[in-house]
Amino acid sequence: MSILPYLLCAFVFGCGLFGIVTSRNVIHMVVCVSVCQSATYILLLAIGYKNHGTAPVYADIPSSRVVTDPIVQSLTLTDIVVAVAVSAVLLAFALKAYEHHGSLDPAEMTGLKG
Amino acid sequence: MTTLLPILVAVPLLVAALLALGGRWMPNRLDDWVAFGAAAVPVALGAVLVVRVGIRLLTYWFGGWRPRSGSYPLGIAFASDRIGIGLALLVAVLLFASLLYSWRYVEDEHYLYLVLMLAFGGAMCGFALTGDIFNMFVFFELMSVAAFALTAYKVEEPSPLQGAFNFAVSNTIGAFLVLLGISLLYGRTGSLNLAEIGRRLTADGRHDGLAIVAFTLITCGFLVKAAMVPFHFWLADAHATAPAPVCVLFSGVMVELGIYAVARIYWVDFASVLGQFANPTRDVLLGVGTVTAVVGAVMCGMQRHLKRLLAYSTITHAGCFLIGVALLSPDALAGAAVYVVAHAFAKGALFLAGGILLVTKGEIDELLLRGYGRDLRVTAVAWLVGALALASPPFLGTFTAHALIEDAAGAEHYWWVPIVLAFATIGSTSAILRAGARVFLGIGDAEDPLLSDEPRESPTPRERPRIVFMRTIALGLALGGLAVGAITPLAERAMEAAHSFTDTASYLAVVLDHHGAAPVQPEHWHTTTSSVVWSVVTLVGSFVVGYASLYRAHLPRAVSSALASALQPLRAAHSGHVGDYIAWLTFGTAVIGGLFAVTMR
Amino acid sequence: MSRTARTALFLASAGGLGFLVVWALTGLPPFGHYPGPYGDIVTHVVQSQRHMANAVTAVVFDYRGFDTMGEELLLFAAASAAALLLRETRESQTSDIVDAVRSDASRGVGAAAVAVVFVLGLNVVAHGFITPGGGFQGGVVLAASFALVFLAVEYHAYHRLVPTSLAEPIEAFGAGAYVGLGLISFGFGLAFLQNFMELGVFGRLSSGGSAILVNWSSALAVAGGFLVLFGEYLKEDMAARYGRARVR
Repeated sequence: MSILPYLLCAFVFGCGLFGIVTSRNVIHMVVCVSVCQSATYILLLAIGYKNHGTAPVYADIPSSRVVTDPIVQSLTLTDIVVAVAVSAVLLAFALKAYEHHGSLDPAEMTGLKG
Repeated sequence: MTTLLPILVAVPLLVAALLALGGRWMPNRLDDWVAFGAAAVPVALGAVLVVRVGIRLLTYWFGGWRPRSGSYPLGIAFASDRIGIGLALLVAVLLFASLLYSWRYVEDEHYLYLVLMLAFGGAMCGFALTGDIFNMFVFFELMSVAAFALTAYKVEEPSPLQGAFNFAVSNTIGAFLVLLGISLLYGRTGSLNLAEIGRRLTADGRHDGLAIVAFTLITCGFLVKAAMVPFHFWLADAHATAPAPVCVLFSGVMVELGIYAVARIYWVDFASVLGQFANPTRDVLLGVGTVTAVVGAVMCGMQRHLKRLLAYSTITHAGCFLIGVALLSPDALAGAAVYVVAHAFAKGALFLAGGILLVTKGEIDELLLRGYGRDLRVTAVAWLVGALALASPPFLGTFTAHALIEDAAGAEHYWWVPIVLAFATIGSTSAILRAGARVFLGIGDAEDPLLSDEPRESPTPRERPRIVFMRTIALGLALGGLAVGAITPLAERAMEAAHSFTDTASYLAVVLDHHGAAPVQPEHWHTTTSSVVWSVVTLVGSFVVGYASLYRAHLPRAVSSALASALQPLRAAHSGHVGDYIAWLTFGTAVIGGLFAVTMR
Repeated sequence: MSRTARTALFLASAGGLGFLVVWALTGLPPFGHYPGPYGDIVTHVVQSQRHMANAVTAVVFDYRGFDTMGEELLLFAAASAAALLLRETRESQTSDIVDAVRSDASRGVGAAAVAVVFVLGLNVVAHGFITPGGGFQGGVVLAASFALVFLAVEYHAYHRLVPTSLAEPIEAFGAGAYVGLGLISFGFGLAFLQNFMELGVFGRLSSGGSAILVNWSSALAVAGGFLVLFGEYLKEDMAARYGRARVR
């Protein structure tokens, strides 16, 4: 089943999207956005994996050893920082929205419409 | 000269960090001067570069990782042609104008506002200049995060938070779609450099599920930023609540960068491998652009909140930009490029004029402002000139842009494109003219059955500012927008630039093999009778429909209630609930992907 | 739209989209058979070209250092955004709140742990090019050591030690230094962010060249960024809890 890790990414992304669409709580929604982000990490890291590969750190392994791809790992690192930044900003919005509306339900925050 | 490219991006970003470092302790107006200086540098560098680049593609390799000819590109490259540099220059000019305008417009923690504006501008410049797909994603996220924060600037009100939240969730999901597409492309080609991806995709040649879906995901992700239907719901919410100078940047360049990204990635990466499917690609993207233009125009006419009205106008014109790109022809692409410039200036002027109304009258609702704008004469002129520029009058404003797109559509036998452009232009410009007439001249009914209710937006309370500065900038931008159509060499240079933009082989050769750019035939502008005819139609139509819509209260009750109930589903879809938006986003991606899958297998 | 309608629309669309995505995933190389070439080339040359043992850190700070610069600025922008959005609650409103941990044992062990974690963080940053670690990971650990002050000791101590007015400049300095290092390379006649120092001996702390400076500036930026975020949210929470929040 060499496609299973990739399918996992699709499944997790779908769960995150479902959470956002059906959510009744903005904090829950922010966490679902993070879940979607985790799905992207899974795909990136799964693409870079090599059978019997170890971490690409040559401090204690011979140069001939099979290592996994360092590029996707660095992309994931960047992606994690992106996730932190977005979550921080979204949570600030959620916090302030609670102070204004007294509620965390997005359905109550529909002042803008039409 | 290529060393100017990283400086163009590094200076605003560095100064943003410096302002954050010392902004708390800087004397009163010093932070503004520093920010102006930082914004002026990319304007100057961009102006020099856009003139001197010609039809070449400037490449700059970061970290010194310039590959020897034929060897693998290990580092990140900027690969900037005239269109990319032109966009960066547009970003810089609008940023500078916005900072000048907001000299006295925004107050508390002013240095943080400047920090975020500079970061926003720097990121957009980097996005337009880069030649690496993951670098595009990083700059995309940076400009998005800065944008989210700027939207929620007036944090005392409930609406900015809702607008910013909807904006943030929608755009973040769009960015994830792009990232999934990038991962798929990396899985196939093992590269992140745009040119290298293009070369390897072509060598591989398979137009299977992976290539088609990667194209779908990346396109749809960027079309979220470009506010295409059904990904567009966030834009009206964000514009309604962001401060006016920030809206100038949103409508002027941020949305347009999404369309630029779709065009760039299509032409460099997918044009060869999906080239045999040019017709389905064209049809699907034209469909998206057309639906967006029509929906935007209809929604525009139903708004009474002036900034929301202008936001829907942006959506309409963005649909027209996509039509220009979707025709997959260099001339249509040139038309879209010129359109972007004219629209940016005109729309910028309109938003700034709206901002002046807000700070002087304390209101942004068209009906409540009826007649109160009579004393703001210069602002009224700016509003009129901006609207005129968008109405595509003969030889002014968006005229050359419309002409280029219409002629290219005619050459490909898409006879209905000029009709769509005319409908979109008349629909959105008539609404802008109507609003202007009601506010600045006081004519028109006091009520209108088709306009939707909007929450109030109040300006940050303080003494009445001196608006001489603000209205001069607004008028200047408006006149600039009008002038774009008159500068024929601009259209000619755009046509040449578009030819080299769409020349995939030349791009790959320059970036990967260090060849020179392929020569391009000089272009000459010819005005056709049909473009003048359409131009007169849109100009006259905008005024006629605008005047008529001032008196919609006189419509017979049966007609207006029939219209209102027909439009109700469309209006209800714009519910303000972010769960709805994401559901539509998923729907749109599935439909577009499905259409591509069926036609390209 | 009602919740049911929205869910129905989403499930139908997600079904179609899911089918398309699975179709795309079948086109990927099988799991475990990464074909390269980007990763393979980098792991092949990293030791000889860069004298670095950790290929991931080499990619992050050297080969693709410009991306990392963008991302530092992203964290910086997010922290500035949080400071901007939460600016209504002034530090003066919360500076006298104590909110202490009462158990002396917890406080003692906690205070000792702060020192240990701080040194651990420095260690992780310093060894970034030799072992798994680097500016990001170490920066987070450094920030966590200060968060531990609040958790194990008291808010007042945390607030005195790392107010936002201190964390923000640290973070801004880190982000600015990163961009500045890129510009310094210009001074040496090199490309933006190109290495301008001796590469050092492989496997030693000195390996890596000017990427070491980039590494440390990134650690400062990350630690500062997290401290700003943590501090701002904590301030809001304390203000709400102790009734200091502004009456609306």
